[in-house]
Amino acid sequence: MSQVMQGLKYSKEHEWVKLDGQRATVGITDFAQAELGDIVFVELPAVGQQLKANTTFGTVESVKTVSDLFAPLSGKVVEVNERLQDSPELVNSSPYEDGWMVVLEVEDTAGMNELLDAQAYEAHIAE
Amino acid sequence: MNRRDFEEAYLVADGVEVLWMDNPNDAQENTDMDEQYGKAVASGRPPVVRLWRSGFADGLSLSRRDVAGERGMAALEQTRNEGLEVVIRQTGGTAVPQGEGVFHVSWILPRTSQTVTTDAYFRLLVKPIIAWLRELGLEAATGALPGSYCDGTYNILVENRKLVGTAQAWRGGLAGTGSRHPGYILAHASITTEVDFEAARLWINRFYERAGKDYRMEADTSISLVQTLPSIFAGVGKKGRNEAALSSLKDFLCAWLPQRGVKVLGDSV
Repeated sequence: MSQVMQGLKYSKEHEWVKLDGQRATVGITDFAQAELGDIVFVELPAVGQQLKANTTFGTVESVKTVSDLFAPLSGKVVEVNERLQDSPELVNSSPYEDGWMVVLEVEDTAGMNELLDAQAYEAHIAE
Repeated sequence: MNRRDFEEAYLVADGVEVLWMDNPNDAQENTDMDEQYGKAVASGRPPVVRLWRSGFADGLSLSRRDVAGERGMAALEQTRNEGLEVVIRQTGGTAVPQGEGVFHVSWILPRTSQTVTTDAYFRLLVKPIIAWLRELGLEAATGALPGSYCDGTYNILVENRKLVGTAQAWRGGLAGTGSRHPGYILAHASITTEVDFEAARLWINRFYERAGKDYRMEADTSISLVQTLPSIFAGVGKKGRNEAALSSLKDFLCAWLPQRGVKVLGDSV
């Protein structure tokens, strides 16, 4: 059974968001990492890049398969998890903690209202 | 009909278009055509089996993982500065030799709401190729071969050496058909008609040394069609041999797939 963390918001694309003021930390969910299998590479944007909600911001490669990542919110990338460059398996082992991907500085947090809470996301992945 | 040996036919229940479409004079554009077809398939175009020749210049196909980071980018630049043609592909894995003795098969399919694994798409890709090789008289099977270029479980091996490399890309959101970006699936095979594997080994290993990565290609892990089936290419030049092999596989697919219940919607060149 996939772990869904209370207090986070989720996109239907299986990304999670933790908002702290105007800073939104983004990663992929336990459900997504389990579906992908062993992750061998995560391609992330550069710090300073402006992301637009629902556009691709990177890729995640599991064994010989590549999938796209879509930004759940618009914002400027202010931090990237550099550890994933050498240790992409952190996304598998710790998707909500050590496997975080980017931190966005979000000007307008209204986009959070379009995301799912934990209960709704649990229902979504149970469908 | 013989559907039992191709259970994966359900993945292309509405048929596929089989086409030979390439531009070997522009290696990167040639590679990127898969993405263009993928976007079209994601927008409703029928699925495609694209057959295509590599760019004519000798070189390598690298994944985005290969060129990630400063050392990866520096290794890429150094390799290009040495005169090798290097393309960056969308599928995963490691370096693959390119040149006028290599051709490719790309199955480009829409994402499906069914629960389907990468294994199923790999089987969809490799079974017809193995059947074609068997018709040519070769015993072929899938399997990993440590030390081979771009190693993976769905290598196609002949004489215990690698003849065909395979990889996939699942583009679109992680939610698949439930995504606003449902995307497409690319299942790709690279087939070596004729390659100087010792030269390729040196290029590949030099690239990874420069990139600071451990992957190394070992000698005697690869085989080409010309090495294993020299008689069928007698009197034909290198470019002609690759085109002959590609044509042979294309003709085979157009006959073999309908026998397994897969409608071929068109077979343009």
